[in-house]
Amino acid sequence: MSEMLSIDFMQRAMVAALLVGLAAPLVGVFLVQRRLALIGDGMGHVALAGVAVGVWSGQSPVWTALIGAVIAAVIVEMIRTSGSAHGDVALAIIFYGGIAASVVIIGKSPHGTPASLTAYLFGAITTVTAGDLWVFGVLTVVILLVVALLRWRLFAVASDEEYARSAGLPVLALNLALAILTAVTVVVSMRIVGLLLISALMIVPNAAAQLIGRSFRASLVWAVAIGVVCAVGGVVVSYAADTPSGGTIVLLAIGVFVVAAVGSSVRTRVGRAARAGHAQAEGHGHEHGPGCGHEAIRHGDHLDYLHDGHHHAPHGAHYDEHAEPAKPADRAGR
Amino acid sequence: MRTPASPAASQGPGGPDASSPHPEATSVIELRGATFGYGEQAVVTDVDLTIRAGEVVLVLGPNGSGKSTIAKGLFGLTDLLAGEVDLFGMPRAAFRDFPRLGYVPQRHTLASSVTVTVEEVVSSGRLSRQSWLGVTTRTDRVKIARAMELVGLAERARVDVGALSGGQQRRVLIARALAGEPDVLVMDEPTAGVDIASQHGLVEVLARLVAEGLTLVVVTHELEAFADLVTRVVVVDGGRIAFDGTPDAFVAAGPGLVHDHDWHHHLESPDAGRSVMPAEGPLGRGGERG
Repeated sequence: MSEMLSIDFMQRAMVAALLVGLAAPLVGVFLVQRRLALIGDGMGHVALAGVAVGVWSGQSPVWTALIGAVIAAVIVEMIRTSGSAHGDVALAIIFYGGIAASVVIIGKSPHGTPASLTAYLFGAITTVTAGDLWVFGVLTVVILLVVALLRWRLFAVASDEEYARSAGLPVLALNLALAILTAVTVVVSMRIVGLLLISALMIVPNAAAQLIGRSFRASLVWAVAIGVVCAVGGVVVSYAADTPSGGTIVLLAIGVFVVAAVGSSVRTRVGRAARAGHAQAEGHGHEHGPGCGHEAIRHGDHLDYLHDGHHHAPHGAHYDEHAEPAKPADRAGR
Repeated sequence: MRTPASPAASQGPGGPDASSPHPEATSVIELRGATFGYGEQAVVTDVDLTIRAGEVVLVLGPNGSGKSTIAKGLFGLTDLLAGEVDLFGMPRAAFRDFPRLGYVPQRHTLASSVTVTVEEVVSSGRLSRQSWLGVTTRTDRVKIARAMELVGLAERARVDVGALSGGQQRRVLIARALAGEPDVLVMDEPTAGVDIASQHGLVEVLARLVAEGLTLVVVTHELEAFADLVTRVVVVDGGRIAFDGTPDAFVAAGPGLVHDHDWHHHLESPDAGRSVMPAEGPLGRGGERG
């Protein structure tokens, strides 16, 4: 381990991984909330065209990728906001146009071949330069600050855009901010995770965290923790096992997701089994009976009263919570 | 004579003189010849409607009549194609005091792809009163807690909203609007898909708020649920206002008010007349919930 940490490129790779692990889930949670899980993937395609322009012109590919991704973010958001019926197709054209342009430009470039895009697509630990690290550091600080400042507004817009508008929140500006944050995150990830895989690091840690956290806030903390552990851990494994870093990081994250999913399923089953024995309705001061105002539903040998969405069955001096009986149609379907 | 300063006093039986329940109260919403729609397409045309502080207005009408379009138009969620909308005496375009006008949109579920607690949803209703630095002050926390308490969800503050019943989710949305401390609350179909017992719970909460001075505008097609509260009925049909008056006058007008007779079949039932009369008893009746 100490030998690994003494290598310059590994030090830079670890720092870059830490930055990506922090930033990606923080931005990704709002994409998950808005069901835009795949938008980061598309922006990665366009950022790749920026990389190709950088390679072709001899500029730093990080900067050209940033410009490409941010322009794509603004256009994508404008198309989405317009609500056009052809919006989906327009996005596809932009994304595939990005990846097609990148291959053509790089093929015409004096310094590169399409093969030199591989490191940008899938990540490589040896490629992080000291200059990149400075750029990634500054961009990550910007991402952290903007998310810290806007998180509840981004949350409000993502959870109910109509309501956010009624409350006078600047919905268009917030949507644009999220799109640009996504673009910037894509660029921060391009060395370690790769432009084809970054979307996974924005989404998968959040997917796992949703199974663990009991609130938006707690889930977000879990997602960042999972993101950092997987990114840094992935770089270590990548060095030790000589595997591409992006793929290793994403497979680790998916592994965490599977463990969380299995754990969550077991927890639910155990909880259901415990409740199935005997679950009392909490704080039930009302007495159910004919004409009490609650609908009575036959449930086997007794009546359940439909009370605020719960099925209450009389049991001695209290009421039990019963599961909703299966509808006949459900049974017929099986 | 009703006393506009005390909305609670306006809950007595509507007398024959009650053509305008609060004639001298300030107007909070004023529509003059307003036409709302989407893009070029007008949905409701030429709406004249003045709502005064302390009123409880039911906006009734068959599905597709345009009643929700009017409610959304107040918030700029539908386009104002002609006419004027004033909010608290100010043209809508210049209105910036957003928290004063609370909105409870028509939503059937709060379930989402992320875990969100009741408290987190309700807190988002406080944002319009907070600075851009995003600091949640002690006052904010008190108001958020009070909003949850008002709708009876204080004990469920940390529960995932996706695990709540439909009726409870509606109450979460109401609490979200209340966290911004609105003077006027506009609700779009708050009882749709909610069982009778939960409807009673909702109305109980609203009665308490009206007693505290809230002006209420409820878009609905189920008037029975709000019979104890309502001071004025507005009927929208075919994109126009077909009726505007007291609940008594509405009952007297009877069937035939709108083209589609099905939606108010309850008016033709024997006990319908009674159900739309304002309650004679004190506020907060209908407390037969468990």
